[in-house]
Amino acid sequence: MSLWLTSIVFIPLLGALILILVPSSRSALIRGWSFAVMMVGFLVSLPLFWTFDASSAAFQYVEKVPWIPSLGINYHLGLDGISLLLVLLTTFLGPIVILGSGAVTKRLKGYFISILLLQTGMLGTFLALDLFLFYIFWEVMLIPMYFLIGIWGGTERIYAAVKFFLYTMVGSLLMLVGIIWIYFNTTVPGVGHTFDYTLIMQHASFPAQAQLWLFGAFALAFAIKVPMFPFHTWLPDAHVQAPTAGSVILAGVLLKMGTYGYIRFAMPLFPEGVEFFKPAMIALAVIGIVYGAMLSIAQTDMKKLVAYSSVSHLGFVMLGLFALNAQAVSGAMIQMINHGLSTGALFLLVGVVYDRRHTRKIADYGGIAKVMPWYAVVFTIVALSSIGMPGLNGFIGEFLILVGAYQTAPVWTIIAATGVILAAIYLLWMIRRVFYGPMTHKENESLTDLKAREWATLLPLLIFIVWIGVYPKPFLSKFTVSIQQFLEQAIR
Amino acid sequence: MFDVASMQISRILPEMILIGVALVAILMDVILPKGKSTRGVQGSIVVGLIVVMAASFFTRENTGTAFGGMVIVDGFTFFFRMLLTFVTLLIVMVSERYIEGLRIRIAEYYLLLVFSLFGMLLMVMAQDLLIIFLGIETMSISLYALVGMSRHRQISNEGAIKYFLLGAFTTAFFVYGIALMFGVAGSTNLVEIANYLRGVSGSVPMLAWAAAGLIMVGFAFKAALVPFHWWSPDAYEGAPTTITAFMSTAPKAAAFAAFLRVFYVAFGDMSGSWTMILWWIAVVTMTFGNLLALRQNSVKRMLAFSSITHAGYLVVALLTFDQMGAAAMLFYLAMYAMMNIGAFLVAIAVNKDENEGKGYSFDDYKGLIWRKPWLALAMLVFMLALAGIPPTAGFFGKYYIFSAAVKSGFVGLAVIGVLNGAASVYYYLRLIVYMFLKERDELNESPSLNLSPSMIQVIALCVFLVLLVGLFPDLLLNFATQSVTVLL
Repeated sequence: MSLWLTSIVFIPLLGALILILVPSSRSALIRGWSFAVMMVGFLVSLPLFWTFDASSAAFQYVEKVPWIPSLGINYHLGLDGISLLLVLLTTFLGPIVILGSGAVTKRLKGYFISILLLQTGMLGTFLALDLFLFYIFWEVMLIPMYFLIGIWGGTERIYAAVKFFLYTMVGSLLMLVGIIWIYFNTTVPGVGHTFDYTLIMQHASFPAQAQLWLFGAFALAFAIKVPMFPFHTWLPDAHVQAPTAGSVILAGVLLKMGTYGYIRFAMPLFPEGVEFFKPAMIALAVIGIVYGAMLSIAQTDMKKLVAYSSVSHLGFVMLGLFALNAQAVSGAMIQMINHGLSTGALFLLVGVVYDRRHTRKIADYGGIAKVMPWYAVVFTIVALSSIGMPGLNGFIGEFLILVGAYQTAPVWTIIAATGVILAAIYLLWMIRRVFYGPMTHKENESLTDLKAREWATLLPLLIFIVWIGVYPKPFLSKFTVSIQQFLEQAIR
Repeated sequence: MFDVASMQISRILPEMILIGVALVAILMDVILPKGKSTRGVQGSIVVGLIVVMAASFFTRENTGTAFGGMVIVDGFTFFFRMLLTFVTLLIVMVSERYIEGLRIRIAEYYLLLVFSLFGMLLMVMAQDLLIIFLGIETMSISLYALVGMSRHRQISNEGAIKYFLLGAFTTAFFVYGIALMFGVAGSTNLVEIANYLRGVSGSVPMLAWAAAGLIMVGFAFKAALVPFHWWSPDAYEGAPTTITAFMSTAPKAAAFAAFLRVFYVAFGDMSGSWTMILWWIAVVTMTFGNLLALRQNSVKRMLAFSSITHAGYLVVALLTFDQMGAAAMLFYLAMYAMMNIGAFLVAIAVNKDENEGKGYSFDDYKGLIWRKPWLALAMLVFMLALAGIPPTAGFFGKYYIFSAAVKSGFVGLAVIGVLNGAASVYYYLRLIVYMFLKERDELNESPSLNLSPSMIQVIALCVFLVLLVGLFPDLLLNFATQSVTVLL
C-alpha cells in the first residue's frame, strides 16, 4: 500500500505544524515556507495525472487501515476519475493562493496556518472513501475557513463568518444522521455494519421511502455548500468579506465540495431519491442560473458581482448532474474545474485593483485600460472564459451541459441558456464600465499595471483556461469511464 | 447473624481508604501550624486520591457483591470509581489559588470535596435503593455547603439555600418512591425488584409505576433535567467556580450512573414506558438548556446553562436501553468532564472580577488569541468539543450517543438532538468570536491572568485528553463498552 494519497493530504498539515514553531516576526520566512509547502504538495500530486489509469472506474491508490475498529471506521482513501481533477485543482490553486496573499500583512502566521489546514481538509474531503472520515474532513475544514473570513476579512467579517459556519453546520448535521442510518442499515457479509463507501455501493439496497429521506438529508448539506438557490445567501456575504485568497479558495474549491458530494454520495447512493427529486433539482438549478445572473447584473461591487455569478455557474453544474446523461455530466465535471480556474482568476483580478485603490465599487473606476493595459487584457480573457466564449474553457463545459440537458429537460434548458446571455451582459458591461470610457477619477491615473507576483498567480490559470478551451480531451478522458459508472449507479 | 467474612469487606477497599484520607486530612489541619496546614491538607488529599485510584485499579478483578448484596463492585463501578476520583483529584489540584482569593476556609473545602466523593462512590456501587439514598445524601449535603462556601458573597448564599431547599424537597420524593417500591416488591434491592417485576410481567401494579416515577424525579433533580433543573443556574452561578466545574461533572456523572443502574437493572421490564417519558424529558432538556444558554452574557452562566443541554444528550443515551447507549453515556460523561473542567478553568484564569454581576464577561475574552495564544487555543478546543465539532472527543461523544439512538430506532430523537447540537454551536461560537475575531481591548484588559502552574497543567491535560480521545476514541470506547456489559 503506497502512502501517496496520505502524503498529498497531510503535507499541508505537516507544514502548518512546523510553521507554528516559526517566530511571528519572520514574515518573509513564513510566506516562503507556506509557498514551498504548497508547491511540494502540488508537485507530489502532479504525477497522478499521468499514472492514473483512466480506463478503469475503480478506485486507485487505495489506502485502508482500521481507525476505530470497534465501530468499523477505517482510514480509507482512494482516487477515481471524478476526484482526480478536483484534487489536482486543489493542489494547483494552493501555491497560487499563497502568492495571491501579498496584501495580507497582519497576523501573517495564523493566516498561513489556516490556509494550510484548510488545504488538508479539502483534499481529505475529496479523497475519503469512508463516510465517517468524509464527514470529519467536511466539518474540520469549516474551522480554518471560519477564521480566514472572520479574522482577515472586511468590516462585516464577523457576521459573514458566523453565517457561513452556522449554515454549513446545520446542513451537515442532518447528513450525519443520514450517515449513521446508512451504517446501521448496511450489512456486509463477513464485515457487519460499515461506513466503507465501496462496500456500501456493492451491498446496500435501501428501501425507496428511506432513500427519499436520505437523499433529502445529504442533498440539503450539499445544496448549502454548492450553494443552490434558495440556500445561497451566505455566499455573497462570505465572498465579499473574505480576503482575496479566501475568496479564491471558496470559489475554486470549497463550492466544488458540494457538487462533488452530489456526484460521489447523494446521487449514486440514493437513485430513488434522484428519480423523485430530479424535477425539483433541475428547476432549482435553472432558477439559480437565471436568478444568480440577474443579481450579478444589479451589483455595483465587483466582488459581489463575481460572487453572484458563482451561484449562476454552479447552477449549470447542478443542471448537468441531474440531466443524467454522459454529455451533461461530463460537462458538469469540466465546468467544476473551469469555474475553479475562471472564477478564481476573477477574484484574484478584483483583488489586484482592490489592493491598489481599496475599493471594489465599479463606479470608482472607469477608463483604467489606459493605465493598466495588460490587466485589461487578462481580465477580458478571463471574463470571456467565464461567459463561455468558444476557444476558452467555459465554452466546453456549458456547451456539453446544455446539449446534454436539452435531451432530458428541453424547456428548462432553453431558460438556462439565457444564463449564458446574461453572463455576457453582466461581465462585458462591467468591463466596459471599469476599463473603457473616460477616466472619471483622478486617483486612477497613477494605477500601475500587473506586477511580477500578480503575473505569477494569473499566468498558470490563463494557460489552463486556454488549454482546456482548445484541447479538452486529456481532461475529459480522465473521467469518461467513471461517469459511465456513475450513470449506471444513479439511474434507477 | 453478623459474619464479617460474608460481608466481603475487601471489595470496598478504595472507599475505606478514602475515609482514611479524610481523617488524615482533618488531623493535618489540626496538628500542623497554621501556615503549613493548607499544604498538608491538600497534599495528603492529592496523594490519598491517587492511592484510591490505584487501589481501585489493582482490585478491579475482585468483583461481586458485598454487604449481603447492598453494594456491588463490577466493571461499571470500576469505571465510575476511576472517573469520579480523577475529576475530584483535578479539582483539588487546581483550587488553591482561586479559593484563597475568595477567602474560603481551605481545609473544610477540601474535606467536603472528599466527603461528596465518598457519597458519589456509594451511589455508583449501590445495588440497593437505600444505599443510593445514603450516597445521594452524603454527596448532596457536602455540595450544599460547598456551594455556600464563599460566604461573603450574597449570591453564593442564595444559591446554597435554593439548592438545599429544593434538594431536601426532592429527597422526600425519592424516599417516598423507595417506600412505595418496598411496599410493592417487598425489597429495596435492585435485583430483587427486577425479579419481582419479571414475575408479575404484564400486570405491574399501579404503585410500582408511581414508585418508579418518584425515583425518576429524584434522579432528574440531581441530574438537573428539565423541568427539575430550576435550582441549577443559581447554584452553579453562586458556587465558587471550581465547585461549579465539579458539580457540573462529577455529581452529575454519579447521578446518571445510579439512574442508569436503577432503571436498567431494576426497572428493565418496565422500559417500554419510562423510555417514552425520558424521550420527552430529553427533548425539553436539550432545547430548554439551549434557549437559556443562548441569551447569557456571562461565560460562567453560559457554561452552567449549557450543561443542562448536555444532560439532555445523556438522557438520549440513557433511554435507548441498550448496551451501545449505556456505553455512549459513560464515554460522554468522561469526556464532558474533561472539556467542561477545562473550560471552567480557562474562565477562572481570564475572569478579572469575581464580584456579583460583573464577572465572567465575554468582553474579557476580546482578542485573547493575540494576548495569550495558548490559552485561547485551549479554550478553542474546549468550545469545539462542547459544540461537538471534530476532531475533538466532544464530536465523537455526540456521534456515539446519536448513533445509539438511531440503532435503537429513535431516529426522530437523533434529529432533534443534532439540531440542538447545531443551536449550541451558536453560543459556543460566540466565545470563539470574542477570542479570535474581535480586536483586543487593551485599555480594559486585566494585566495578569489568574493562572497557577497546577491550573496550566490541568488545562493542558484536558486539551490533550480531549484531542487524543477525539482522534482515537477506541482508547476510551472499549473501556466504556466493557464497563456496561454487566448491566444488560
